[in-house]
Amino acid sequence: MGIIAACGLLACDARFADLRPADATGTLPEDAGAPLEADAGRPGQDAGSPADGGPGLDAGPPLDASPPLDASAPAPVLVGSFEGRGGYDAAGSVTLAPAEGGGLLLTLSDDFASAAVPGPALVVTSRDRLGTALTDADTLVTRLGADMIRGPGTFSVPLAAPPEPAWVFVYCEPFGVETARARLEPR
Amino acid sequence: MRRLPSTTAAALAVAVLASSLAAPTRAEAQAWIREPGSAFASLAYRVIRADRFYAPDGDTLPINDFRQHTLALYGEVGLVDRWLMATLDGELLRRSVLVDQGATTGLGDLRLGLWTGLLEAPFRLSLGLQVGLPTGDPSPEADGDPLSQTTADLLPTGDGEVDVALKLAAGHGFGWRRVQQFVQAELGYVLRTTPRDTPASLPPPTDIRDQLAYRAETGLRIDRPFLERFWWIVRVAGLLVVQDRGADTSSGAPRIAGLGDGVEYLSIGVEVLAELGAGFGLSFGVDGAAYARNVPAAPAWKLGLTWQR
Repeated sequence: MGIIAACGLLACDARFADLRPADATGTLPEDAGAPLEADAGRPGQDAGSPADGGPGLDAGPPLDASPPLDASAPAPVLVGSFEGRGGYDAAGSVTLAPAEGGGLLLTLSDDFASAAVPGPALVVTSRDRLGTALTDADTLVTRLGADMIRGPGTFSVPLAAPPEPAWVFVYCEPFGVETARARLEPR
Repeated sequence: MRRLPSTTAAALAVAVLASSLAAPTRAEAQAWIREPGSAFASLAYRVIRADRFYAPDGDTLPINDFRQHTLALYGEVGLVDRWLMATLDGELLRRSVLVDQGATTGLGDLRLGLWTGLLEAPFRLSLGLQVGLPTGDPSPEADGDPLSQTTADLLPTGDGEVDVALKLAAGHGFGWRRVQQFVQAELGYVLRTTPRDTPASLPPPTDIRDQLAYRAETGLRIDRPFLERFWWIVRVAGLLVVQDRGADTSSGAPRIAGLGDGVEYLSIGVEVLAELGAGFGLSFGVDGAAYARNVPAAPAWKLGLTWQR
């Protein structure tokens, strides 16, 4: 322990430089990302609610350009199982269901687990692969914190209806790498 | 079996002994314990430009453009004739860049070593103990939005842990006609420990799995005017994880910088060392991976300045 402490004294903090173009602020909408009150018990997370602007179910038009299946009909409940991508492990399932009052809820199962890469993002899309960059066809739901890569979770999705076809990805956005994927189909 | 005349046998023995004392004077050569006061140092700039990455399963994945620049220092100094030599190996500067996203710059990790000679003939054999010090930053901080912090988390400048490596190095130098040649091989076990810190966006640190480190190298020099200034070197080197952790989805934190748990590679490299005079030399080389996990998938180019006394 003494050696580690001494090395800590020798160690130097790295300096970070933000190299993003001035007009780029990331693809996560400000109103997305907070887990719903149902997940208030998860450690380290602030539960969001429509009242505090968290989920943003009523925050303007959907971000996803994919056409809904049928805007007048209730969205079906879709389910899928995660598979690892690119050598990363993943487990568990995901459900995309209509939310009370409109919009969609994305629910991760109790046995959900994904690889421990920094800041993995949950993405709903009609594309079967994301490549190295998100597009207008993709909806970034939230970034999973360190305590969120395992276990259940429920998140609002700022879409009126699921895309067709519907996929959910766990995605490392800066890196541009998919770590998990689930194809959603009607239950 | 016909026995060699005793004079011939003695001459051969002397030749073998003398040749085994020859060393690649301008390369990393831990098998040869330097005499007290003798020293070698190199300062090398290394660059990697990658748009692919060796994933945990060994396949390559496309990634956003990545650059890594390092300024690496290596030094050897003899302490006790035949018995003790000290080495220093580390990155004085490590800059990792995700193009159009973010970059980290800082001191990398350092490694101190002590080597002792076990054999001088019929070949050189030495035993080394190296301690890796976590002088780099395993969890750089970004003063910005969460995406900036995520980018910073991907680009540590150090692995954050003390590691200890026990290595055996064997080497032999010999000559035939107008060619001088050396071969050396190194095998070591690297005991990895638990990082003192990981980024907040990752689970708490766990042990990094131990590794086997290996290297085999050969070089030659032609004893002709002008050509005698150059050593031509070919090497293979690698790291191999020796513990299987199975399909634990929270194990490790594979990151683009090639640090941390689960890093493996088998690299093949070539290098030319040129003597400039007055103890100085220039080196130029490139290493590429034949197989790897959790490192950028691109060649590493190196330009170095060497000095020897």
